[in-house]
Amino acid sequence: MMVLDKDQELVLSGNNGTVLGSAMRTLVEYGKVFGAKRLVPIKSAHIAGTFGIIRFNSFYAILRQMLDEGLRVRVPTTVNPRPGREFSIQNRVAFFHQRKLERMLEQLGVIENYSCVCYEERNMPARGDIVAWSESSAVQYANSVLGARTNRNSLLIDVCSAVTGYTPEFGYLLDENRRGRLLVRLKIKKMDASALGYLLGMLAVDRVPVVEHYPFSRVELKNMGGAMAASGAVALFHVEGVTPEAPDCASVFDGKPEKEITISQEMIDEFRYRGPVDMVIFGCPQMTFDEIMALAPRFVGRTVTKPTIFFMVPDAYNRFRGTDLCRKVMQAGVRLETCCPVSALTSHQGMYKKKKIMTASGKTYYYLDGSLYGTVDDCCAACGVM
Amino acid sequence: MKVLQGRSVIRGKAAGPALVTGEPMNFTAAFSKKQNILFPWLWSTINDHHHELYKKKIKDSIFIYPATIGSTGTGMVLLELITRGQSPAGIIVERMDTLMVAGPVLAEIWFGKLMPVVEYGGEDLLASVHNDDRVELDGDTGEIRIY
Repeated sequence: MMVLDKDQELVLSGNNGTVLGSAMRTLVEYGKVFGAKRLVPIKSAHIAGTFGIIRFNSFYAILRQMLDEGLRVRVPTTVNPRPGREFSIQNRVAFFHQRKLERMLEQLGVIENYSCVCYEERNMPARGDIVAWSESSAVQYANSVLGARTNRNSLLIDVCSAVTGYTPEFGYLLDENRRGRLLVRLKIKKMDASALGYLLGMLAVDRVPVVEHYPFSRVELKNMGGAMAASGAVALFHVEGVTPEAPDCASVFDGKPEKEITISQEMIDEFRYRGPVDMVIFGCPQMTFDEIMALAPRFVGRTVTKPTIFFMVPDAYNRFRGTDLCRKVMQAGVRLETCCPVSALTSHQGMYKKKKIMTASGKTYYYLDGSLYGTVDDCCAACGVM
Repeated sequence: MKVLQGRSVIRGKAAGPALVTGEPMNFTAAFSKKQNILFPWLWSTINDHHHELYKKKIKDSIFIYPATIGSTGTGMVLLELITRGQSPAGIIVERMDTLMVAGPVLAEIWFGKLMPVVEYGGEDLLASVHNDDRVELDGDTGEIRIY
């Protein structure tokens, strides 16, 4: 049974508007399915519905109803990347509603960060904060690396939470569901966090993996998590001694792990493609400033031999733009973009003859037809800068 | 005929041919490719080349699968399939999750359309039902009938 407080009851009854009432009812029904006993206030929201895809009319119909009632987000709310409408004529058709959608999001009062990596600058919950985010890679980072608490919310559920300021309490909001279930041992000489994440997603599916200690950087944690949430449904992982809820293995497991897996070098190397490719892309989740600064020097004084694109967080691009390093990277022939690579290139791909696109992102590798996986080094080699 | 007792997730009744897979499903990867979006007759074709049901149609089936994976676009994708009459008639899932459930919850509240869902966690599910078996689903009681 879910018990609501007086204010929540009033909103649910339609007292503050019938559309707001429907948003509340959506959260109540969604929560009931999972045995939530109450709705709890959220500190922030992140909305993933930023692609103005043609024909996804139900989505726009709901947003329109909300705006017609004058609803606005009640907590700081960031939004996902733009889809790359300008990439091709096909994209202009596929993302026909882009301008309309962005106007609607502005009217809702969102923060116009347009990035899946909202947690670098704009939306930074503290450990223990309850938030209602969508975007599987951001959910993953918020739970695992920041120690904030959110379920894997769907598009539109995120909007309902943003306009009401509540989320139902269940799943990853509760201590008992944040415990480790799988223990992952590493027998790896050369770390590739994206490939490791891809593999862990497949093996863990929706259970919480605990990786034994490895000094992953923030960038590696981002890329590993993004991959895990694409090939699997992992919403939370721990790394022993690195992520906030796993100071050591003893405290993150209830007794013994359900299962132990050992990941070997051969297992993560298996994803690597060794042949020639037509294009090389970096980023997904979008490249952060640190990630760009680490990769960019490799391109200085070189010329790429294949079309090469960096997909960056817009804020990071704004910092990078105008630097000497940026000028040199562009001189090397690298194209700089701030949209989502998967959406930008999905429509870009021929229907029957697909370009071979190499990516170091486990997430892009899952979603983009025609993509091939390579480590960052493989990608640099493929575009001729190694 | 075989009867299995599952747990009711979304109310309503449905019947249709079974579409069965042992692999987790990524609805976003399956149904938001340009083929799905640009050609109305391909709405319900599974366009995830990582999946064993690649190129199969999901419309009007009773879709039976273990778990949902992937992007949070899932709820919006399922909602669109449901409102366009392109969705499965009903779903049986071994382990329900927040993303798949969002689709039918949104469809009921905002558009008054039902797509019943039953959760059945028993390990005998995939062995009990095969593709194209007729399956009847009662989302109110959780009962599954396989013919």
